[in-house]
Amino acid sequence: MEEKYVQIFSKSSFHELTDDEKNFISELCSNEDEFESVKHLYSGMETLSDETIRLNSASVKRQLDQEFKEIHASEGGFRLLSFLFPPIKPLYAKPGLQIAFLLVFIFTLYYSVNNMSIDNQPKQLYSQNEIEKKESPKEVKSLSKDKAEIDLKTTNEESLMGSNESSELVEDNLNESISIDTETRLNGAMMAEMISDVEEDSFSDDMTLFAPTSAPTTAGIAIAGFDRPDDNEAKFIIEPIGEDLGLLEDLFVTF
Amino acid sequence: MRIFQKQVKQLSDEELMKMLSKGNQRAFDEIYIRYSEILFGYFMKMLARDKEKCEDMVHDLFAKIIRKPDYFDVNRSFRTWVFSVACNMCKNEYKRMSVRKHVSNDFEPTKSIQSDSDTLKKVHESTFSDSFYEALNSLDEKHKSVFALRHFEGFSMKEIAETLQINEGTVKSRLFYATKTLASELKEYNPIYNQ
Repeated sequence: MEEKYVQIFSKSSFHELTDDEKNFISELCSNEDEFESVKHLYSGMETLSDETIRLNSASVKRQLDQEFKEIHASEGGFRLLSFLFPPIKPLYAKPGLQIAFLLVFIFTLYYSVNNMSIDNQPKQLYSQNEIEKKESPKEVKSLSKDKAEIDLKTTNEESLMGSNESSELVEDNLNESISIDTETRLNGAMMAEMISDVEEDSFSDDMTLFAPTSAPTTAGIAIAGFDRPDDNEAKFIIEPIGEDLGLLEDLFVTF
Repeated sequence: MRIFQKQVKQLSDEELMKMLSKGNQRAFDEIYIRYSEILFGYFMKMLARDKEKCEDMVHDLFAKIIRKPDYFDVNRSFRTWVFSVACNMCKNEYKRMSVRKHVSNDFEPTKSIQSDSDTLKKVHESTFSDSFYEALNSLDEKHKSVFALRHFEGFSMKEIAETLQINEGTVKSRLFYATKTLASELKEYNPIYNQ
């Protein structure tokens, strides 16, 4: 069909065309005027092909070759690596780096949340315990002694009650207390009498039955303080006046 | 090596594309040799002969081929496929250009003054080719692409229809319209009418 058009428009004038040819090109040109203008257009277009601007092929090809190498170089078993770190994409757009940043963010978030919710309380408690230990090292010793004393006291009370169950417990406690301290064993009877006088009201019968063997009670600590007035002084936050009368001067308001 | 090069040159575009998708550099080189200049010429006609832009377009098109060779259907003709990609790129470029035109409307008065003085120059210096490309660029994108594919790339009606994914009848009517319009605009260059 295209060849036929070429043939028709190669003819010199519209009048030379046959009726068939005229019908064939009727859609494109119906009169001599149109025929001439189309013919001129085609002949003019033939001269255009000579004046083509050339592509700067070297620079474009160099860039494309680089891209081609970067994409296909990683096909020898490193597809995952090339997926994570594609060479063409900018640094911030590489999935590997994005995943790494996401993981770092999640870990920092996780640890910061952990520190806020869990770690703070134990630290505070631990620090409190440390202060107590530093302030009263003697108290710790006295607590262990008091423990033994309480054990002895309970055994005495148990023996007085004469119950079978309690006697078994008392026997066990006795054995333990004997092993703890030899001094308390010798003075056990004396101390038990003294303590029983003081503490008869504070301990009920049930409590004495299941008196703790390991953990010191508040009563025990109180007893230790009572027994040792020197240690008791150390517990005061405000320094006692004692013989230093100069401290009293601050109490009086002067006008 | 020479034997291998000969073999590559004898291969069809579709076979080369198969090899290219497997990472064969020689296949890519051959495809580039065959189509870079043709596509550059096509872009030059379609995009008002802006050389730098056309070079970028050629680069982008081949970069697409490198990155996504699987987009090409091996059962289809590579020639029509690559030109359909080029046509779509041109369409996108026209859209961008139209947006830019809207944005730069504020500067039109000064431009018109300059263009008046330019037109006087152009009247004297213009040649047929300048006027032809000017007239071609004034055409619609759909008429222009049909005309360029038919007369510059030598596509048949069927190939144009396949490339632009339209009916052959539509191709024919668009081609006639484009030819008539161009012919009437370039009438003044016909020596018959100047006499």
